[in-house]
Amino acid sequence: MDTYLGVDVGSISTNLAVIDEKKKVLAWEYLLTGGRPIEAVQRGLREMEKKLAKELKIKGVGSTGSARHLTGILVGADTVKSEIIAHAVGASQLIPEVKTVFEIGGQDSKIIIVRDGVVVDFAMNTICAAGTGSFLDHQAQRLGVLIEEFGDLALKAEAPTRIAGRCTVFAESDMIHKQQTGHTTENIVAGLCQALVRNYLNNVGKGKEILPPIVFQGGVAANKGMKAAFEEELGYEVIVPEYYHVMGAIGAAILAQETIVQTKKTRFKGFEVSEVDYKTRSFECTGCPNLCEVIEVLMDREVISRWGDRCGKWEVLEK
Amino acid sequence: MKVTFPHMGRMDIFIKGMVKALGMEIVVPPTNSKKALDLGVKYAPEFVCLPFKLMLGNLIEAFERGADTVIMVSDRGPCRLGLYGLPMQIILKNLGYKANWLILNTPHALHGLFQLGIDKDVVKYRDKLTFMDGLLAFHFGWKKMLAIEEIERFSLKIRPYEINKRDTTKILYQGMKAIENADNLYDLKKAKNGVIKDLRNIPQDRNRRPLKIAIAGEIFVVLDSFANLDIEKKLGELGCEVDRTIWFSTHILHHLGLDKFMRRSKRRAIQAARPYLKYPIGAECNATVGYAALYAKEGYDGFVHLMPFTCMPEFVAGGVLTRVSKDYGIPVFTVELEEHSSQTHLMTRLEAFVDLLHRKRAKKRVNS
Repeated sequence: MDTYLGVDVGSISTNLAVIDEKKKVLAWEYLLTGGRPIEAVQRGLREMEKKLAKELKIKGVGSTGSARHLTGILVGADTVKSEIIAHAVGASQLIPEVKTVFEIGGQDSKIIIVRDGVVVDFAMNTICAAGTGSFLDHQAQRLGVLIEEFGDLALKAEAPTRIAGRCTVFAESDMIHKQQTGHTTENIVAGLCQALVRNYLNNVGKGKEILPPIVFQGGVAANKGMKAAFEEELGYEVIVPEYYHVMGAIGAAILAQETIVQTKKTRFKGFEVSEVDYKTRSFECTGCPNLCEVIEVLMDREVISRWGDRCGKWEVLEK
Repeated sequence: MKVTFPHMGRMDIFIKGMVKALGMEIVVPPTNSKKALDLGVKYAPEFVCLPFKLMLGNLIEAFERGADTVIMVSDRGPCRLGLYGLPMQIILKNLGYKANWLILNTPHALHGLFQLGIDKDVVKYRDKLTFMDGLLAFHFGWKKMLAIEEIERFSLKIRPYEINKRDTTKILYQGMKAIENADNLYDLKKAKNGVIKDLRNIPQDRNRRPLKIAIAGEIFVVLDSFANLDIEKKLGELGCEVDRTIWFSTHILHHLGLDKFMRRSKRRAIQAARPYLKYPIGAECNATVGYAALYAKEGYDGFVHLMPFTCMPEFVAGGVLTRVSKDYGIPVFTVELEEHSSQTHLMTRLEAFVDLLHRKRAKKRVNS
């Protein structure tokens, strides 16, 4: 059977998904990147290989996420696309009539507006990280609540506390103040969800036409309190798909399938790449006052790719 | 007397050309770089816009190289650029740099020129040079500027077709150097024609159908490739034919009222913005809005709007652009630039924007 692999390497998590010709998800893998994208991808590939039946053949690979270029070189991806497109493609595969996609991850959040299956507008948080998962993570620690229990706790709230959500630091001092005046933990947790939703809609979602059906994905979608807060604020149903946490990888796999239709042949290097010795190193170029930080990727001690320079002096490898 | 000035795009070419012809001494600050930016960020107020920080960095670097007289552009109106000179004067004075200031704003300029006029060094030049020398010098600088703009414009047309990535950019940089080094009009013309020929000879795939994208917004970040993170080159390498709406020459011509018959003049853009903005907001705001409408009518696929973070006029334009985008069906992508802007973040969004435009075009083709 022919299958397609999608790899999404983000700041917090690395996700892999394998789909068949009919775009059905056969297997998925979710692991933490831990700041080491190469190791995470190799670990993911190893796990994935174990899960897949031997007769399956990978016919195409797509990479996405903030480490998409590095991953693309590592695994030999047929298509390297930004996570915005991958998430939109993943969501419209699941719900073809989708009009709005909310994606909230660990360090960034995006809104994608889709009309008739095509992305027409998008926005990402640029200046501030207050509207992301790390905001909730941080406050959960502060409250002594496990992030996994956060959602269920929020649903138990009777009167959510209003918390200023513009800035993580101000939210924290506001939250502590509310704690001191006797608000219950449930109410505060629900209040934090609402603060995040307000922040998200006012910053990332500013000026965007939010219409149902709305799909909510990314790591934060696991939080039931967030789904409820979105629904209350918008008055529409918010759909959290089954594979909400690996939608980017699914999208990348679908994009790989689309690419293979044209190119016919995959560049996939095989699962063996999980055993190859890949390294990265960086140096500061002193050729001009820009002092660009150039990154080199080495395969078996040989430089196979470079990036990070503004002028392109290093990017093109001498052959 | 050693005159210096802050950078704005390739304005230095114009000034250097002019000064070269006059035989005066100037200190050109090193081109905008991380160092200039770091210096500017260190001494500028935190929420001031990116151009201020870069210009301040330029001046500090120039003073370290012995400059003692500053020529500073200025403007009236809501853009903060008009007021840059005064706070900069205070900041630099507090840092211990002593300098003469010539702020080019109507009443101040006269005052400044008067001050410079009594400076002994200037008198020395004034006795040697005639009015005609000045005119010829201006003409030479202007021609250099136009030559640079011509090759830049041409490179934008070639880049989306290049087969080997970065070919165009490499030749463009070489070409800029050659034009900079030209000593007279004959050399200048020869250098320019050489670059155009080299650009034309780049291996190209003419079967491509590049997306057409216009870039507009606040003048400094549109003109300065360091400030806008080389967005033109990035878009070009993603396969887009880019048209820049503002050039140094068109800006000057507009202010002199000489752009009446130009097809894509600022004047026309301001008129095109009339249905949305009935009175001038200031700076490039009205023009930005109008350009979106003008380029949409010409069949452009997308519109990129550049602004420094905290820029008031462009912030207004950004709001109005959502309406223009809807009315004309042209996707608009706004980039707010500041010292923390990251290349990777911009790249992610640019790739997504270009993808969006490709898919939109593919769909249009299916429907028609």
